[in-house]
Amino acid sequence: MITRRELIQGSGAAAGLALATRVDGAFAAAGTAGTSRLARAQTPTAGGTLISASTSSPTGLDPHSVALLANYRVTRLMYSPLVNLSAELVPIPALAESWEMPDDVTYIFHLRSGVTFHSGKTMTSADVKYSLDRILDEATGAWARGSFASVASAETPDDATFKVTLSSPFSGFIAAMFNLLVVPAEIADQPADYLMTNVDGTGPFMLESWTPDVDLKLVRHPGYWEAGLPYLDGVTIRVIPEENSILSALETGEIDHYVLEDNKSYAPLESEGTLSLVTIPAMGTNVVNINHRKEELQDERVRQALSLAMNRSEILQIAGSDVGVVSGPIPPTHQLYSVPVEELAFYETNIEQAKALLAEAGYPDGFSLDILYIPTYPLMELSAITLAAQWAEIGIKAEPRSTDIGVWLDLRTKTYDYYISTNLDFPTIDPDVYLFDTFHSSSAPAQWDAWSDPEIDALLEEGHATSDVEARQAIFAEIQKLLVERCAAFWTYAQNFVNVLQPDVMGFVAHPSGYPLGYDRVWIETA
Amino acid sequence: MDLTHTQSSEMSSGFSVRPRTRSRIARLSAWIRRNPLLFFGTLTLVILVFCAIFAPWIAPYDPLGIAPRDSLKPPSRAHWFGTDRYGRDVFSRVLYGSRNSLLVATTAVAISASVGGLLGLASGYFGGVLDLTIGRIMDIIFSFPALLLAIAIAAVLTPGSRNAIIAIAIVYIPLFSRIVRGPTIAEVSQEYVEAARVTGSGSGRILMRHVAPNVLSPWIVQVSVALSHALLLEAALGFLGLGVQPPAPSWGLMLNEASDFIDAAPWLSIFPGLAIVLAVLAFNLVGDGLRDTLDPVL
Repeated sequence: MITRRELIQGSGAAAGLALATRVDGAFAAAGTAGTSRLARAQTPTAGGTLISASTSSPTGLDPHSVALLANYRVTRLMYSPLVNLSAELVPIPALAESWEMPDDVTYIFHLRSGVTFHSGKTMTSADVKYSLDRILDEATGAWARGSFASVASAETPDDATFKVTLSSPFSGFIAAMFNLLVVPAEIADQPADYLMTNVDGTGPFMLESWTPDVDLKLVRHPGYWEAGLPYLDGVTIRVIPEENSILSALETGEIDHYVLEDNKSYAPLESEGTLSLVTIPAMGTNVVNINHRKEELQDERVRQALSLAMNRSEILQIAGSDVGVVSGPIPPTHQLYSVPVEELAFYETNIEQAKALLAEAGYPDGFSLDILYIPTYPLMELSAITLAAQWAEIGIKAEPRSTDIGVWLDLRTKTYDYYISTNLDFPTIDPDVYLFDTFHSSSAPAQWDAWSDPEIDALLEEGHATSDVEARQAIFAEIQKLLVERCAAFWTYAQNFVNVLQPDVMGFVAHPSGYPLGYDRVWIETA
Repeated sequence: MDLTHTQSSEMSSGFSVRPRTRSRIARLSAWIRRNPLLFFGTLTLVILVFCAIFAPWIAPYDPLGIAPRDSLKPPSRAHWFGTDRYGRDVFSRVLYGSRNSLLVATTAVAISASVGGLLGLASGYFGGVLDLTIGRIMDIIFSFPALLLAIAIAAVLTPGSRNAIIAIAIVYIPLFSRIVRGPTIAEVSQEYVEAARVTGSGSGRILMRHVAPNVLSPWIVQVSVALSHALLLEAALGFLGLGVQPPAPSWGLMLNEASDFIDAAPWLSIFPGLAIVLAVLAFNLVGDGLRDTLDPVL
């Protein structure tokens, strides 16, 4: 069973987009966003096991190579990154206590002292360097490799210092360190797939047992680098493929925590009121891809007409169960870089203008197109059917086309015989990472869609090399406006992640990545 | 008193003035009294087929038209059967769904009945290696549970209504082949067939002119039974996403879409479910009735 954004991340070439992952707890100081309602109620008590559920099982436990949501959800509990991200997506210290930039291509990280692996070994800069090398090694097949493409060299001046030199400035590099999950250098002597079934990280929990498709049991890491944490004795992640079964298990109290796959259950759960709900806006906007190879879609006016015929709030209501916001390419979660939808061209539904544009482009009676979706992803199907109904109003005969994931990937990346494809959101921690890696004409996703625009390319390159926040804001706002105006793709809405918790689960802080983490600060209230 | 009087006098006068009409109605009501189930089944079928054919004129809404503001509304005067997740009118979708569901089921049965029937005739008439070969192939198809085989075929052929028809047709071919083969063997040894052969009729002529009419009644009964099974199978395939593709409505597909809302919006599953039950019941009742009429031995 595959879920949500594994689809995108699993497709390999989008690895750079997988930056958005999670944070294990160090963001507690980051404010009250997404804190469960009883989080500040009382002092934590240690002990207890938290049981969470997932609709899919990890296929392996390697923190670098397995590009699946189910994998990120569990490996982030066992491995720590060099740098964490707060709920506001600001980089905060994790294994690196602090960092400095002597110039715009050099980064020096000062490592925390006394960090130990689950095996008891003390972590040094050699382990960090080994981990980076492992990600960069093509043989590893690391999903995060794209984030580190600009690394020219890595050095270890001493055990507590790690120095990276880039070949060119990359403004999202600190954020990318969020994906540098540290493994011990000694595993180099083990077979290549050693980490698939064995775990040795510096994270808050250690592997006790893993039964694929059944459950994964974790126990507290007594040597965790944050003193006194975690409070829990252990975490069990159960695999239950049907969301409805998970919801029943939540009602009977068998499950303590779950992140909704389909937000349709939000309203009923809210009105019932027996379980705690913690929502947090996601880090990406759902997108509809355009195959720019198709003659009709090569005409910008046709794409603009399609955009005008869309009713994005209807799509949010139907596909997103109205739990989210209509959004441009970078969602409001990224307060610094999101552009208000009022400033985006062709975003407001206007059937008359759409028809006029279509007629001007030479299609007064519309034309036929297909809309790809994968039926196992309800959001894609709901969007495809809604779009077809909306586009019918301007005479476009749109046919939703069901494909399985393998066919979808082939169509999107090899054979290109389709017009429009629904897609999910690309969770991203930094606008540069998403926009550059998806819409610069050199990137694989842009090539899949046959998207190329020299003006936007130039702006993306400028944004990539700029680290001043104000300058970046201006550049990325301009890029987003151009992408929307020229309809590189159609963005729809950013959803909210809905965490469902038993009322006795305390101190849970949600993260915009949607990963059910922060478990190191969670405790279970004993009655 | 007055009323009874008028009525009885009218009745008696009607009887004397229009004896034929009266007797026709009487015969019909007598027939209904003798075969209430067959009558009910036929009536339901007629209504269903009427709905399927005239769906565009009966349906109050576009079955594909979305209206998110009306999403998941319970049955009301505006929406007799409520609305689904997209705000689409369930009544209109059930009506249009009857088109797709009945079309798939009847086309599939038409194919399997004619192919299976011909195979059975040939098998029974020629016997020998041909009979053996056809028989074993039919056994192989028969040895799979119908639903499982249909799922496998539909999945291999990629989902869609055309392929659902093919899958259902293949699954039911052995049923017809077998039901025709037995009586054919019995008929072939009859003297009139011998006589036809002696007078120089070719095999084709003997089969179609002489044997086929005599094995027709079990075949007809089987058609109506297979129709109800095919309808169920179509619903199952639709439910599994292997039949009619969304957004087009079909009963099974509607049940699939409803399965997420079985608590929150039960009308989504009740009405398409009811439609399936009614249609299957109607086909079964007609099948039973036909069997009693055509084949009293069974």
